[in-house]
Amino acid sequence: MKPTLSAVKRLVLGLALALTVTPASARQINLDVALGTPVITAGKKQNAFLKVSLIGLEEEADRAPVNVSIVLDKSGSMGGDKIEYAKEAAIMAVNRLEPQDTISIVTYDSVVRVILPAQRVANKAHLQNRIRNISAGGNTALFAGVTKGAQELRRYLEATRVNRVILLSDGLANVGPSTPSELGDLGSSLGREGISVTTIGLGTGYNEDLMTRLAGYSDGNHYFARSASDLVTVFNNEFSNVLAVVAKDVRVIIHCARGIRPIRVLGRDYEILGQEVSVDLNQLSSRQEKFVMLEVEVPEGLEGQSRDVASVDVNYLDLKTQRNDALNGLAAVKYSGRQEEIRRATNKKVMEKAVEQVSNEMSKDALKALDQGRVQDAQKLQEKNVQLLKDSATKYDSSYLGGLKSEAESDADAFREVAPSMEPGSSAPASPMWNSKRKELKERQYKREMQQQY
Amino acid sequence: MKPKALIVLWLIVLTPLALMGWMGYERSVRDREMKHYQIQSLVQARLQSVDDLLHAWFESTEKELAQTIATLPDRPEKIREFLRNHPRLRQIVWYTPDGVRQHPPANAPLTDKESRFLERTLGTVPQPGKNGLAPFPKAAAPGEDPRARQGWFVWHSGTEMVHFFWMRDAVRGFTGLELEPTRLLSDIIARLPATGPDDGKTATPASRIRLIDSSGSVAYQWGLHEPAPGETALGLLPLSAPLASWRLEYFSAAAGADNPFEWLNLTAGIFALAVVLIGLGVYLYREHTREMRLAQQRVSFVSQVSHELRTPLTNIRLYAELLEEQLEEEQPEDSRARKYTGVITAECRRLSRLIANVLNFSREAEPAGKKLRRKTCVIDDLVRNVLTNFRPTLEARGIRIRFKPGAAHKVLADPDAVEQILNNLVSNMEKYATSGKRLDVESRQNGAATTLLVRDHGPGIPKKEQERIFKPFYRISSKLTDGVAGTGIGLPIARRLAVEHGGSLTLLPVETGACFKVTLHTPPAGETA
Repeated sequence: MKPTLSAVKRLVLGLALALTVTPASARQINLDVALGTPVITAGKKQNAFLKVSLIGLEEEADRAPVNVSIVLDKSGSMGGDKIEYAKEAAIMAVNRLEPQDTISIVTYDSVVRVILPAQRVANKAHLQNRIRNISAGGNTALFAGVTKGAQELRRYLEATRVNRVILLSDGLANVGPSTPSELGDLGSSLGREGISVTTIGLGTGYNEDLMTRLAGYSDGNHYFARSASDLVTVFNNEFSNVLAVVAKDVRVIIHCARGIRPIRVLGRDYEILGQEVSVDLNQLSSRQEKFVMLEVEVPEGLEGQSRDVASVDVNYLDLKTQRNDALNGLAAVKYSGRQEEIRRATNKKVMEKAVEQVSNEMSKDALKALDQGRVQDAQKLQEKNVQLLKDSATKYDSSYLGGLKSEAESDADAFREVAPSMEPGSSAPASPMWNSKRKELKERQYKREMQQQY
Repeated sequence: MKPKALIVLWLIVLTPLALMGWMGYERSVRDREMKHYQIQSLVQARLQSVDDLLHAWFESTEKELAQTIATLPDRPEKIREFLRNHPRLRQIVWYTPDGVRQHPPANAPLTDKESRFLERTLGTVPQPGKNGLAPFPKAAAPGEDPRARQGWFVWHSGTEMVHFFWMRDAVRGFTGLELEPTRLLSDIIARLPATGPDDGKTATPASRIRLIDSSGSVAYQWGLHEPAPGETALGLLPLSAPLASWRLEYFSAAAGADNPFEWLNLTAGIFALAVVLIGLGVYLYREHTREMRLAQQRVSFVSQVSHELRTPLTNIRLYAELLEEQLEEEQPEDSRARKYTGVITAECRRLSRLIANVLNFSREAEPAGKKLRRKTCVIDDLVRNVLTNFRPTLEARGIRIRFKPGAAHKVLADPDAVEQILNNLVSNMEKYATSGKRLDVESRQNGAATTLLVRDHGPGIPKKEQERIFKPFYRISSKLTDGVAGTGIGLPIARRLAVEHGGSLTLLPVETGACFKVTLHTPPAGETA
């Protein structure tokens, strides 16, 4: 946990403006701490974005063993194509596993059945046969399904495994706890236990709030599969992510320097205690970038003056070496009076991500307003969002932000179209088009804030 | 006779049916109660085992939590890290023995979660006093020892039911662990069985057990049986503390419904029995009515013929008697001719009696009315008359007649009836009891009652036959009656006449032979005229 000697040296020798800690060669993670605006206007209090970025390194051989539980909804609504595609997807997923991995399969309708208790992937044909025998019918005991899935995982629960429940649902939970907050609590508790829950919503009948919260609090992934035929791709992506996990229990602690006031972390759950901000990232896959975007308030300073902004500690469990490891980083700003210097120093990549996160927060607020029936507020928020993206795209000359702007514009159109069907104060409209749009929106927001890989 | 027989027959048919139906019903009720009881105890046992399972789990959880408290670090940041590594816990509250809140720290910055926790539990979690050992005031369930060192504290906040495990001791003070409610439920569900494979091979009937939370909704359920909406639970068991407001419900298909075959069996049995009994009844009834019909036909035929016979017979008797008188006058010495005419008149009398009986019997169908024709007469004379008539035939068979007269008063009586009664009794004796070689007749009179006793010393009448001999057409079937001509109506007519005469005809128990007792209402002749 303590900074290694070499890391300390690097800290000392590091650049004054922004510093990157290069990890030792055996490391699985790259840490990049950067400010969006490393040079800021002198004589003025202002906000800055600090991006703490973690990148999983590419893994050639030996991946970590995985411990997966596939929890399939087999309620009545899953009948026909849906269950067939789901089975096909699960069968394909089994094919990608190896004897070191463990798998269990749980189905739920009104009740929960453990189709396949947790076991090593030894006889794939047998496993696949068991999956083929699943048929649909009944209610939706989602909570119990996830619980039993997690219980199966616990048989092989090890810190050095990738423990994941993959939940597929196409409907609303109606047996047992079924509110987003309850499922969120469950997710959070499972997350602390080292189990993450990936949720796959199929079609337009599921509760996207519940599914994103369950995934979010346990740091799993979330997918929206429009049609059953997408399931194979979704499962494939999910397994690519699961099979490539290189680090677990990733925890980022940002110590803000004196005078720097932490404002908020965009997107993620975080804890602020005095000057210390901590964020859990749980798992990181190879070639995946996850980051913490912290907005801070930097006090005014004199031209030419430098100021430390924050030091960053990252603790994680390296799945390859099966040891805990730590990384450190440091960030500082310089005050300047010359606009040109400030503009040139601006880190475009960081700002793009910062704007993306801010825009994502606005999009979430807009959706929330819409859910509460405040249609006009929602539309205004979305217009502001579009304006922000438009301005930022110009300011940073970013085609990426330009793309986000068109996306936000089409969202704004959707908000306008959906508006006439909404009474102020009433709950969300049930038009199928909006239903699908909302799910897509939730998925996108989720993927942005969690930096989901696929 | 006919409606009575029908009623009896119906009773014969219906009584066993009703009895069997009732018994069957009783039995099925008892069976059902028994089965219900067995199911109840089975259900309760199953539910109890679930409760035991949860109880055991809570106990082991208590131990784990107590262990957890023992390893609790003391610095706030360490406690926070500790919480991160304990997924079951939502928050920790800790007061040192001197009443200072160690966590969430009373004099250090709080995280959002900690502030929310304090807000949420304001007034719920108590502020221990100086010694840090103050009891959980509202906490403790009624009856809980206030000096207990550890326990559960459960409260409802909003829709949540929050479980709090607390411990206190003099060294550490008071420590409370707030469990994550959904995680607790998840752990409970994880301990409960999943539903087995749906292969239909299980021997026990499909059932469903539901875990119902304090708000009455289903938290978890397992088992292959799918209860219909509104189906009532077979069994119910409130869970033990600390899940006291929860309950288990048991549903099952096979046990819930009555076995339809049971009723089918019962009804089939009753139906079969009914068919047999009704068949038997119909057969018996037909046999009975056939015999009756035949007898009636016989009687009616005989009575018609008798009517036709009466006039010629009267004429024969008249002329036979005339002939007898004639012979007496003309040839008093020719005893042979007189003997012949004597036989003719005797046989004529016999035939008259027979005809009188037959006519009397067929009169039964006539409306009841004044059938008696009372006249002033002396009973003893009537008796002597009859005995005189029978004397030749009886003496021919070597029977001694003894008459002990005792009814010499003039009374009002129907001489025809009295004579007929005696005729029938003596004629029976002549037919069946000649072996006794004796006939004792006795008469008595007491006020308006006359008693006649007719006794023979023959083989007697078997006990079981003693009442039946008074029934029409009944003849004791034995050697006794074999080869003896009889109509089977003598005794019934005699009895009926006696009854009509305000008296009775009964059989007195005697050691040998048979003794018939006739009582008659015979008002003295002087009083009524």
